[in-house]
Amino acid sequence: MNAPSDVSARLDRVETQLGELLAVTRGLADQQAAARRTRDELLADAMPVLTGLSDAAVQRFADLEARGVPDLGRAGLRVAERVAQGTSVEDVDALADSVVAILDTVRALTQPEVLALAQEAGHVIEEADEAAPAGVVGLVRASRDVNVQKGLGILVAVLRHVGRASRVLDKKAQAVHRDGPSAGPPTRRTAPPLQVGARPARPTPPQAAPPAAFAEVGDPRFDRQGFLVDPQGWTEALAEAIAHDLHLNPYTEAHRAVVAAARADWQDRGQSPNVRRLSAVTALEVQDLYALFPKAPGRTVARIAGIPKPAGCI
Amino acid sequence: MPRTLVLLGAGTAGTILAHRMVRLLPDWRVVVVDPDPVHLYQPGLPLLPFGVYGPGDLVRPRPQTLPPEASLIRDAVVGIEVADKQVRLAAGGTLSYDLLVIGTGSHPSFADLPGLTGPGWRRSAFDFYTLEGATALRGALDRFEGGRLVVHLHELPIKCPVAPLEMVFLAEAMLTERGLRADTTLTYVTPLDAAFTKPAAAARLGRMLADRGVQVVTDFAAASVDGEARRLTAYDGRTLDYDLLVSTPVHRGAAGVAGSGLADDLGFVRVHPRTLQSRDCDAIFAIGDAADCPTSKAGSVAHFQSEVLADNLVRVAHGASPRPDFDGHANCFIETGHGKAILIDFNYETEPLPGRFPLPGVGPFTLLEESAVNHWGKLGFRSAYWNLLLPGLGLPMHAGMSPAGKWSAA
Repeated sequence: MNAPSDVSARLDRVETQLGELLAVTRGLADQQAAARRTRDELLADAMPVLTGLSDAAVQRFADLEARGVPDLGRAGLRVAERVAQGTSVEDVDALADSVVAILDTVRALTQPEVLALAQEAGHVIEEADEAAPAGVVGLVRASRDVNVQKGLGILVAVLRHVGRASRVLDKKAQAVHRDGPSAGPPTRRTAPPLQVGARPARPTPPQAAPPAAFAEVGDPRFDRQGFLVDPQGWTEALAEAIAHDLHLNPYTEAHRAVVAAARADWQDRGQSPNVRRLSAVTALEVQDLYALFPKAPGRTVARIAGIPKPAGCI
Repeated sequence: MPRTLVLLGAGTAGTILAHRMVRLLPDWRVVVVDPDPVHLYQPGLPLLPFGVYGPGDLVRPRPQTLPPEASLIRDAVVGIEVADKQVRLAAGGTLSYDLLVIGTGSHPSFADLPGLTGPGWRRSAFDFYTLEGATALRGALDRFEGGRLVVHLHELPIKCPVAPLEMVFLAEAMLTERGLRADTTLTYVTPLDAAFTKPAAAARLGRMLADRGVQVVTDFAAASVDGEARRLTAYDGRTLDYDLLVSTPVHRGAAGVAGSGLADDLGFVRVHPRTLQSRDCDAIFAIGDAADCPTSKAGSVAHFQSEVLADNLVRVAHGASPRPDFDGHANCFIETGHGKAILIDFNYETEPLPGRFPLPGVGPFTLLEESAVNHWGKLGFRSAYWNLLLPGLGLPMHAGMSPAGKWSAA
């Protein structure tokens, strides 16, 4: 049986333990907060250093870019891509099979005597431009030259070798055709065409309005879309001319007031008003703006007012 | 009595600034005001409808993302009293400030496209700019068996202007994978004159949609949606019928900011585009989507702005003038499906150009060009967002756009 003092002692112990547990928990929370503060301080201190490193890297790469290095790298990648696209597994196998023969050919071709001959031939072809044309008589006369006779002899020997090799290859090809693909080098296979999912028919794009006369004659004061390049070059007379060009006749006081309001708003805020903003600054309903400037009033007014096209960020 | 810096909004910008400013202005009180109990990783939203992420992957409890030294007030802003230097809160209280940063973001304004949230809303017509919308769209795409799928950009500005294009690309990839491509007509509708409006992008990417059989409808100023008839109607009378519509309406700034006198007609705070200081009050700055800067509304912009603004807040706190250091820099991944993405890097002066990023000639990321590396970068970014960006640790890059590695547009 538990005496009351026994229970009381146990409760005291529990209370002490709870107190310790609370202290430990608070300590952990403080530790976590301290750790977070340390981490934040570390990041705060590191950020300017990282920014400085980033600046240095940007400068380095800007220099490289100015010297064309990345473009060369990209071109190299494109070449590698094309080679990879144009080469099939069979091609690589064929290359592997023939690599010894290729190396032998390269060795033969790069022998000093052969190279010297090729160089000479190069010179000759350059000089041959200056040779006079020769007809049948000229040929007969030339064949009496001992050097021409030597050259003809070499040509005949080369032709004989090429002809012989060609006949051997023909015989091998015929053997493959007869006996199956186990004999001879594999043939190149082309990749199957890419499957493209069916797309819904595209509707024809809306017809653009015919360009106004200013843009058509290539007036340098206007960009390709008919907007004044230098807003400071605007005058009332120019506005009327543009309006006339856009077939806005008659160009009334009502038009002028809207145009003036648009220009003032642009000067004040640094951006051209769209139709909603125009409605707000002129206290005209949007329908009234359409009545004055049919079809895209925001853009039309901007053109006449010599301010930039109302645009988005992209 | 310490001076008080109030940050309205704890999105990307507000959270980064909270972390930076408690360290840069240790003598100041930093107070963050945001009604949302969670922080949402918005770049994941276009991917959620395609099963790449679940809702749980994209959120963290707000207090976990903020520094313990900053005070968080879970409430919404209903007004800013500029003369009194006070912010009015929805629950009724006020909050005084010495310096105020408005980072309350931008939000899709469904009411600006009449009929969108009428019959058929989140049954045949969807958004993907909210967690609920993206989740509902996922269900619809799972059940989609073919038909007319229309991805619609209503009007700029929106945040992440490339996301509607991402939606088209990802949808095309999904339909192809599921064998539904032949049974679906995919249409991209834009109020702009093309899918790609900048010269270099148009030259490099202009054929991308046509090559995927996507019909592009341009100069479409949408007036209304008829959810019963499943029809989109433009101001010029053109109509477009759909079976499934994914629409992104024009965005507006937070309501409490819109009525403050500091904002434009859409509720975006008028600021100097390079200092981010309010044009109406020197003690007020705006950052991220909430500002009217003439660059994209994007997370990367908020990040780069936060670097500039942190320094400017320190200057102004010590009585100096802010510096016009923000160059409009944005750096955005665009998912194009089939395991690839495009990266664009641009600022106020320079349109997105082709090239390699960050190392010239080498990359590994490809600018204005699809690549698998870009896709991995986009997916990997989520970890960098939670662990490096939000805690104010930044990335090893400068806030300004670097011309290195970019090729001419030709």
